[in-house]
Amino acid sequence: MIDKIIKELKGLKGVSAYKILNTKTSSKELFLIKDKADMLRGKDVEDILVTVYSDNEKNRGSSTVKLKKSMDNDEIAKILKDAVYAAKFVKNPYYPLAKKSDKEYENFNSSLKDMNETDALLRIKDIIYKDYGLDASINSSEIFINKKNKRIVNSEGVDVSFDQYEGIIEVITESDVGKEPVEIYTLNSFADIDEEYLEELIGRRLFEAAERGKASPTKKSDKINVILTGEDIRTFFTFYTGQASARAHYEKTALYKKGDNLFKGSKGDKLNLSLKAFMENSIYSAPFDNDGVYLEDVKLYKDGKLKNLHGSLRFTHYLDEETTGIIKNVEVQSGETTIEEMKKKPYLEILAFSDMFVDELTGDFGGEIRLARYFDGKDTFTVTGGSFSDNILEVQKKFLFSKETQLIPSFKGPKAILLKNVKVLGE
Amino acid sequence: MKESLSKYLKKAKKPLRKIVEELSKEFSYVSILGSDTRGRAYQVSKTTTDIRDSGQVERGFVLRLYNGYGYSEYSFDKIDEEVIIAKAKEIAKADVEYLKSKGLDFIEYPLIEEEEIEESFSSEFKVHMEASGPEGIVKRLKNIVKSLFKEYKKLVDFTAVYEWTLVNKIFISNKKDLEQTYLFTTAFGIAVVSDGEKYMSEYQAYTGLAGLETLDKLEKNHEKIVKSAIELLDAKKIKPGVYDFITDPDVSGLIAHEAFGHGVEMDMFVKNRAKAKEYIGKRVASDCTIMRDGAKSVKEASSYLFDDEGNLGCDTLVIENGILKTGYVDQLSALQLGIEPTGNGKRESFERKAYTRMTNTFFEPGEASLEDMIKSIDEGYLLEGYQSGMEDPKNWGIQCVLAKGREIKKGKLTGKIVAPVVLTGYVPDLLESISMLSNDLQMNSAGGCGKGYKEWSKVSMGGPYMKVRGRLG
Repeated sequence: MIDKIIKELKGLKGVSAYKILNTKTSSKELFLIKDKADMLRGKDVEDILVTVYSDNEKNRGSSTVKLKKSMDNDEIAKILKDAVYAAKFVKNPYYPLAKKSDKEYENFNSSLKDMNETDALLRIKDIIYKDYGLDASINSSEIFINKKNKRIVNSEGVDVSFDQYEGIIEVITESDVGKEPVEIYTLNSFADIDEEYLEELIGRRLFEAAERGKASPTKKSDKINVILTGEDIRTFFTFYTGQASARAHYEKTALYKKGDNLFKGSKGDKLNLSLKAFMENSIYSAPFDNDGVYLEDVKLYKDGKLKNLHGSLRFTHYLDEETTGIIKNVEVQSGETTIEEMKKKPYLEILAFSDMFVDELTGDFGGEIRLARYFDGKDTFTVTGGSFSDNILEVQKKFLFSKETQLIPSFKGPKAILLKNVKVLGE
Repeated sequence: MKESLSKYLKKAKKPLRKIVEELSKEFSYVSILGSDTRGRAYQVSKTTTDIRDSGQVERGFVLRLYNGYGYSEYSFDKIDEEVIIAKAKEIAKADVEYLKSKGLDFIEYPLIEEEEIEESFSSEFKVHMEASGPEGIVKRLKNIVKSLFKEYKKLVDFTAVYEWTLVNKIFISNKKDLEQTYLFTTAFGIAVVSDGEKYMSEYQAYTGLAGLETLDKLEKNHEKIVKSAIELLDAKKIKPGVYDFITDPDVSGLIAHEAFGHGVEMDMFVKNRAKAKEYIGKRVASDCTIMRDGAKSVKEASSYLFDDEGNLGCDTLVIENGILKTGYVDQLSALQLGIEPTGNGKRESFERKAYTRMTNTFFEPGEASLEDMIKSIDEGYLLEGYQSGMEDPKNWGIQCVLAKGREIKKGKLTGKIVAPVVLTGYVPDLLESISMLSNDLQMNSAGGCGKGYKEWSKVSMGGPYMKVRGRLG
């Protein structure tokens, strides 16, 4: 199919270059209500994304189309011809395509590689439904096992392919120990069946459901230390990766310039953040991005200074920055404060937001509190409801990262962040 | 103007029928949904132009079989009779038996009873989606962006997008032969403005079961988006508290869809995940509140003949004068609940499972005018636009992040803006406080709706302006 497409492209007038991203996916999916199977699904599909480039003077035009193996020669020819025609009306500044890399790469190891998909479903199901000895249970769950092969080909000689393995679970934990039944939602993806990680995750979600059932309403507070935990920390740092994005700098929507110290005058921890091409158990670990750019680790922030930008070949080229490619794994250096030290003064530890939001443009962030732990200086209570919102540019003046670290899919860094004197809405 | 069913699907029907016929020898229910969705997205900003296939473009099939206990499915994108039949047997027989042998029980479902039906549908639109060709569409979008930069110095970037999606679907079983083709389009603008210190953005979309004519709406309204973004630069923080407020049709739609609508998706009833299950026939909103959902309720992006399980779309009266009448339901949940499906079984794509999903969800209009509604408020806000919303069907908690609030004092807009505004609270409290509804209904299908954090599908939502009381922060 790829050869057929390349032959067609070579015969078309006006094609200056091309890029093909071919993804083959084979999946099995198991859906459960309580601990019974509700549906079993399978999938075998193949997508072919073709970008044709048509240059005019100093400009590069492009148009991207999706082709399927079920298309016949005439249909492929027409779609590609239309794409070339459309590309002529796109006049972006020129940018090159990825060049062939002589660096060696290998497929990342995953226990999913040699495991039959149905057995993988069973193994994950057994972890989700084991007895955790808590006052909470599994309401329902969905398990997806995706095995993918990606091939990237372009007219500059790039022709690479690699495998990716992906497990996805959606788990609803519930508890009826309180006045009203409650639930906690979780959606997680991973590249390997790491039993320790999955057991910790499910156990935590069951614990949170049990605690939510017993929780009292969150009280309002004009000034309280808030502690962020778990996956919300990964979401929190999207502001900083967004601010370092080459596209945001090219479009002039970033608040800072390269070299700026974002933490000037800050009395809290300074940010040290890197992007990692490979991170254990992350579905984003890959040797190449979708442009065919070979991926290597890059440090974005050093002691609070924005040292490097990151982004696609196109936008890094426009800014004359080193091309990093698209890397989605984030590593943040932990701090010196232990979680125990963070908890010496009254605090509100957010265990689960209903949906944490972070505005990468303004730094506004917050959400409705599904479950939190409140310490009033004497006693600790679990609370639910209420919300808080603030701005990252404000809280970064004093925030502290925990000494303890966590490794969750696509993020490695502090296990907790202390935000000082935050306003919380509640009863 | 109408489009006819894709040639590919027309041609595919014959071999698909053969597969259904062959598998029916072994399985007592067999159906195939076929999808051949085309679409293009044109995007122009100050610095970039992009043309690509829209995110909903797909071509493929999903086969559903009764496996003796319940239903198994296989998604594929190439018709190869032998391979498909072998895979179907693997998933609906071998895998089921293997899992059973490992101690996994299956929920038992009755057999889907179908009536013989052969129907087709094609939506109407005024202007062909590519009438002016890529050159004309890019030119129009560029003109929008150019004109704004001439006029507004605080504008940092403006992204103008036009996207069309032509859905082609067929559904084949032993008794059903359904075809549909419908076109929906979206034109939207995102303005990013700055006063030199901070940045603000504003977004507005124009949508419809329509063709290129949707782009006209963006051309008429693009300045409003920039003006609205500039207003945000002077926005203050809201003093948290309980207020009387008016929701604009976008926010009314968000409340209908996010705060309440997800809770009456009846697959949630099957899982005991929805509080609404206990409230059927009971009061959940004020007397003046009427809420509907359905592919047949209005003409918008989710107005189709049949859903992704081959059931015909309906017009479901969800809340009648404050009383919860019923929810909406997909085929398999309907079998579990012993009720009729409402044509709300939708998939993110042919590659995904069908769930109960909303179609076009809205509050019906009332009789008030917006002016009278503003006059009736002593201290409160007119809330406009939204950034996000998250459902909580089990506990009916609300989290809606709204774009802005216009202050109202003593029955008049003061000109002061607050942003962003977070609406939180308990759903029935909020709906029972609805006291006035304006006399116009506006729908919008911008963006996608998720089930939890995944399974994105196209929906529309809307309503009139509504006067409500609730907690804002």
